[in-house]
Amino acid sequence: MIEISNLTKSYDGQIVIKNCNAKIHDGSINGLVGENGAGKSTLLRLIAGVLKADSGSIRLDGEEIFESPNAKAKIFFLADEPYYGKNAHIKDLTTLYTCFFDRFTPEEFKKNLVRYQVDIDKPLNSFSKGMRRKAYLAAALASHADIILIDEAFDGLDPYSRNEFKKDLIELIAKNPKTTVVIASHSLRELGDICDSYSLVDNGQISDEFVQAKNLHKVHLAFGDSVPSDLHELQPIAVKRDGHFLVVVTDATEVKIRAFFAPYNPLMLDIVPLTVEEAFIYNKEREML
Amino acid sequence: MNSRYFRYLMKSFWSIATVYITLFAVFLIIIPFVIDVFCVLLFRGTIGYSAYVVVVGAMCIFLSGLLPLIMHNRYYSKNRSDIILSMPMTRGQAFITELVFGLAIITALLVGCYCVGCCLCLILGNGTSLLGTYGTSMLGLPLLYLACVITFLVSTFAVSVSNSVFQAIVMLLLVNSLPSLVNALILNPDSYSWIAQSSTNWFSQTEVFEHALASLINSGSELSTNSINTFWGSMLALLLQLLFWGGLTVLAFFEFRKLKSEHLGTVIPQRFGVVNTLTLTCMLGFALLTEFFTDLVIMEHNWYAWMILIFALAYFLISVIYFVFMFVVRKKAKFRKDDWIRYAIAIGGGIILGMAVFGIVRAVRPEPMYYLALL
Repeated sequence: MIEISNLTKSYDGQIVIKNCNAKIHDGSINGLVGENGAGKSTLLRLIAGVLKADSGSIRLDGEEIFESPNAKAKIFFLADEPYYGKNAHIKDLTTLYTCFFDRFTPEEFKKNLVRYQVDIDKPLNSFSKGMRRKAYLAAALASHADIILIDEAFDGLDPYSRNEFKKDLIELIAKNPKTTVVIASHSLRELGDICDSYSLVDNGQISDEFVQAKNLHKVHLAFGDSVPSDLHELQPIAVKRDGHFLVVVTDATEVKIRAFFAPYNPLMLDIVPLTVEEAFIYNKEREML
Repeated sequence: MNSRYFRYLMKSFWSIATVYITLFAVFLIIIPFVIDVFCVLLFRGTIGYSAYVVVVGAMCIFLSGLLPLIMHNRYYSKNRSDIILSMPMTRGQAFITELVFGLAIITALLVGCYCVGCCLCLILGNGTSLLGTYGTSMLGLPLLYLACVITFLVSTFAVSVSNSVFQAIVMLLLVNSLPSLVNALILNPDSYSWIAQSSTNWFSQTEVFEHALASLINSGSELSTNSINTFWGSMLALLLQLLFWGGLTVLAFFEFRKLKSEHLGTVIPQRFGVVNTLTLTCMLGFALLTEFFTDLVIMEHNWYAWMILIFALAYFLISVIYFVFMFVVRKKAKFRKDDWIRYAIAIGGGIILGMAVFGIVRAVRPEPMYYLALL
């Protein structure tokens, strides 16, 4: 388990992570979301031991990660723009990871690369961004590390590759139930497919409140006659009208929603859970109201 | 004990070293040697000598310009720190890893330069073995190596204050070409008076420097005018060098104080990394080669000396144009006050050191073979 306690990190006096506390449990895929510059990458770098925290601690199974080769040996970190060497080949990556990760399997790495259609004989700099990404993701899967941290996991990947990677990740967790994956990404739909839990990095704080979107509800309605025009009572965050159809996002309670629409005799009233992406967007919109 | 990074170090070292040893072996030993053998056989060595010098010189110039760029692309990036520092090792070990990368390449380059030296020795010595040549220079060699190390370190600093590899190269061009110019135009202006020079100058200069050395040992009583100039020039250069190093140490102290933990990864390649050391090694090699050619040909082929002078002037001109372009034409380039100070110290130090190094070399042993040792 990764325990983050009172973590603070700043760059040139500007605080990026502020007195943060969080726990990441074993055997889960965690999504780390947040706006640009929220501190997601910084948090991952701190967990990976690349950066030193100003104060606080990050422990893996009780052991401080920073400056601990033992703890770091359990963590595979894939940065948003990983760079080993412009003219480096796949074999250079294999050498690097074989040296440092005892459970890294070159054969599996190669197998993954072939499956991802990455040319193993070409230097990394001849690859496209997505192709390079796939090469590093293949390494992450072959690392068999206890903790896999991936920044912008789906960046540059085509839809097919995204799907393949998601399947591989789920398979990895199925095979190794203790493996923990933390993915920072703006592709919330992709995260929604694979993540067990989510954390929002916002204003230097980590929270999981956005997942419940602070009790936001998305209501799908269909009306035979008149569609209600005044929804003020529900304090809607988003309203979408399409003829006799109405979609409302509100933080009103389910009872209140049903009571409000009952006089209009809706033909359909479905209260559906928000997707991760919707929760993130609507939560932000509500903040801005 | 963290054995992982030792494993990595060894593999990295070996892979880099093999590539560059092969490169140098092929381009700077085998090919020139074959050329030379043919030349010697066909032209009894007369033309072989010139061909050799031209081929090896051209190769060195070419590689000195090309390799830094190649290595820059291969190894330099601040993003590299994300990977290196996330590996299971401490930051100190990560630092050593990156340093070894640099050393691996430097070693390969030095081996290459050594090979060039061997080739030149063989040819210039008309078949005299390298050992035989060195056998006559017991006094000079330690001093030469010391001078080489110091020059190397100063060049490192000169490059490390640069913000990009291009600036670094220009810095080195400045640092390494200016001493040549100063040496040619101020210290030894006679060397470049084409008509006045003759092959007998070699012997007369040797004699003068032998006197200078003797005067150094015997508190000097029989100094000729020329030797006084050389002797005091060397001493002055040494003094300035000491001052320079004092300043440099202070400056380095302040530089290191600036380092923050999160910058360690980026600082490694920027300040101690491969590109810097490689660039300076190449340029140093080139500069020394230039000096070698200069001093060699002063005695035998004056037109070579002029050619080298033109080279140095051209490089200097390129440097000036670069600076004018960067800071006058492209006014966006911002320079802080301490940047100018650092550049001034680096350039000034380079000039002073260049004078000192070659002053020492001349004062001790002026034979061309000693310049080879510097390589």
